[in-house]
Amino acid sequence: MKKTLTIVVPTYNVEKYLDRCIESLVFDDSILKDLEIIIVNDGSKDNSLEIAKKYEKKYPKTVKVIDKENGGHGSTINVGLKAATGKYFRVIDSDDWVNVDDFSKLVKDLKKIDLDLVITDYQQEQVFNNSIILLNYKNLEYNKVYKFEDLDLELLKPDYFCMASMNIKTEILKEAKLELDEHCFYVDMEYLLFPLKYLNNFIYLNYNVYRYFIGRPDQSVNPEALVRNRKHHEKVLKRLIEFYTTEDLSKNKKEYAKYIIALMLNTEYTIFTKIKLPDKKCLNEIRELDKYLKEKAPDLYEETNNYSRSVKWNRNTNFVFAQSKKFWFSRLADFLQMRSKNRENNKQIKESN
Amino acid sequence: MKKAFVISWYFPPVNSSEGLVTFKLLKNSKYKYDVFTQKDNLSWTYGNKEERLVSKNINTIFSKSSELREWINEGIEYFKKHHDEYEYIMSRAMAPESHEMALEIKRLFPKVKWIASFGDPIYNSPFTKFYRESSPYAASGFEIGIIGFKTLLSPKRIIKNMIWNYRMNHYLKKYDTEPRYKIIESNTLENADRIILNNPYELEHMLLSNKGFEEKVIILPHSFDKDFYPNKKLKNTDGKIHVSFLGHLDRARTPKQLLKAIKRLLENDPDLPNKIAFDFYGDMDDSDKLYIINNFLLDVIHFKKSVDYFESLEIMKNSDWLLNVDTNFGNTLKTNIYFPAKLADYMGSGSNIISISMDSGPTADIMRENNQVLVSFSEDEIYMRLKQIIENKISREDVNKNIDKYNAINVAKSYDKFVEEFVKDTK
Repeated sequence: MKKTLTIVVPTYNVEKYLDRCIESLVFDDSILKDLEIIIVNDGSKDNSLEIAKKYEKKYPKTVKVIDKENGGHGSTINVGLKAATGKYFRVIDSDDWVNVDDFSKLVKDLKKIDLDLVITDYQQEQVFNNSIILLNYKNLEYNKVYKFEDLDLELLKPDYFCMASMNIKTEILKEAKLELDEHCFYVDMEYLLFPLKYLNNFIYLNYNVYRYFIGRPDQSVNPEALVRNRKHHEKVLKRLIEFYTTEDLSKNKKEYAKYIIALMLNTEYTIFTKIKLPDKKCLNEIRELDKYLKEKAPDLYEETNNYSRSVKWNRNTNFVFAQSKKFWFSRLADFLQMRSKNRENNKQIKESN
Repeated sequence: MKKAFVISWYFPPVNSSEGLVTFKLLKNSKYKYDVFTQKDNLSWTYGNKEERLVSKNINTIFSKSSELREWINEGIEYFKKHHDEYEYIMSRAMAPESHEMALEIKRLFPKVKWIASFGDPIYNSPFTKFYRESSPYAASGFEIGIIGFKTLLSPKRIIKNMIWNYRMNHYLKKYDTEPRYKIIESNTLENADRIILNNPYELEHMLLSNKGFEEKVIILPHSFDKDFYPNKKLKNTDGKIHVSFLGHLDRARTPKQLLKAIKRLLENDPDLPNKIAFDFYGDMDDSDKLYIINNFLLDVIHFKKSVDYFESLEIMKNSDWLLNVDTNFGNTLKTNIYFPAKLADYMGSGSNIISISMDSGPTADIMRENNQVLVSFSEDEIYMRLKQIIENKISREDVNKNIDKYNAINVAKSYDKFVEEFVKDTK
């Protein structure tokens, strides 16, 4: 019998957390027959593989372990997808887990649903300060079927669908020949966009399933990591720009892709203009990317001008001041922009009242 | 070998964590000890009725005074008269004034051999940072864009911020004994011949503020003594799973996430009170008690009076699960540096243990190496684990397979060997 949901668990040196992740997936005996859990061990150097095999032995009809050489997060998803046989596909990182009640309900619902994409809520577990952040799509209606073509993208903003909220039909990912970059961070952005062409409809279910574990204050936004891994960020970004300019997408889907890539571009400019770089020579990287963007995708280039005044200001000054002490000026530009946005919002609220 | 002179403000019959830790170590050691202590000051204790905790190799000397400063003077005077009887001295850090007494003895008798034992770091305590909450009325440059100029320049905000900081500083004065304790700690680490710590994370943390003492250190974990437990485990007759917490809870060491998880369990299963009972023996912060009362959790959570040490071990033995709650230092530390002494007693009981703690530190290591249950400070994760406990879904294979190193007999063996070498080396 075909499984309902394939879950790929990318696993690299997570002996501390893997138990929690798998225990949450296999908690409800009644859905085990519908699950296919593929733990992809990405050349872990700790005890992760042994832990994974323990579960394979205990749940032979549900859990499968694939052991491979290290290739990064994207490589585990590529391998997992090739082996996937379930109707739907999702990725759960091994240091995260699922809410056992809502996950069970979701799997039971997925059995009956036949749509391209199923969206659920998720939450950040900021255990370092005992708090949670619920991430949901405030303007979308629960249990309503949406068509991508008709979707008003304003309903999504300021969020977008992400790995933690998406259950995609496996056959769509296979049809899209999804192949994520290997040995590279930030490939989740590729996962969000590459199947876009084949996604026609989705439903938003009232389940809060995914638990995104944040153990340290610097884990969610770590400026040093962004600087350190900026080449990876650029690599993924260029691949997405390439996708955006060459893929034959409908108008609405193109707008959606543009929105997501612009967010990523904004992060890229932030790395170079708001975080201290090891060397000012690094600024040549952003100059080159900026030039590439202007030539390759002028509309995306313009979009980032709208996003941030400091980007525009740095462009006009060829990023000369991006790392200088004078960069308070670009912050001031952002502040003025934020203030005018706040004023607009307040005005809207007053009017609606 | 001659006797050792042990300086310990807390020691049985006083029931305190530090005193019990010291007692178990000395009782199982092959040497003889004179312990200089007191029995009338009961702050930070659970009373002074541990009359059964006696051992042939330990002689207890009580001071006349129960005031710290006078206790120090009495101890020094005692040692002056009897110093020929002792091979070495050992000072126990709770209270840190024990080290002060030892420092003075060392000054008077420079040839005396001295082992200083630290339960927790004295200076640079993570608790001080923990209690220092940043003002919600503060406005850093980064936030200007969010709060706007009006709020930034608002006299109301500025005054509120000042009041907050004043009150916080005043409140912290209670904990902030750092200037004096810094001197005690650094002098002790410098002048003691050997240092005892209870876990490697503590050493790492103490090295941040004091350098060059690591060569003197031995790690001796807290221990359990098998002699103190009842032989048989009694089965509960009410058909419920009994989860017990024994010890001290407060604003820092709060079970709030657990309480939230229990609340959610009860909302989803009204029959919960017939399935599981949480028994809390000891103190709890008022805000947590109020949470329990206001959320109608009293059918599931029961407050119990403090019990003496032997009774606590009996409860541990007879409980299905034992609960340990650590302080969440996640905002300031990457690892927890504290080894809760109760965890050793929990292990000795052979019962199942669930610990709410950080994912790195002594508690986390112990839980993992003994296949016990470690959960983070996440309501959702605790909820899942409690459901697993209720539905008997937690694998109990290889439980407690590595507890021998926490057996007081083995810990004392390491200690005796360490003392032997120490005495020989410093002759």
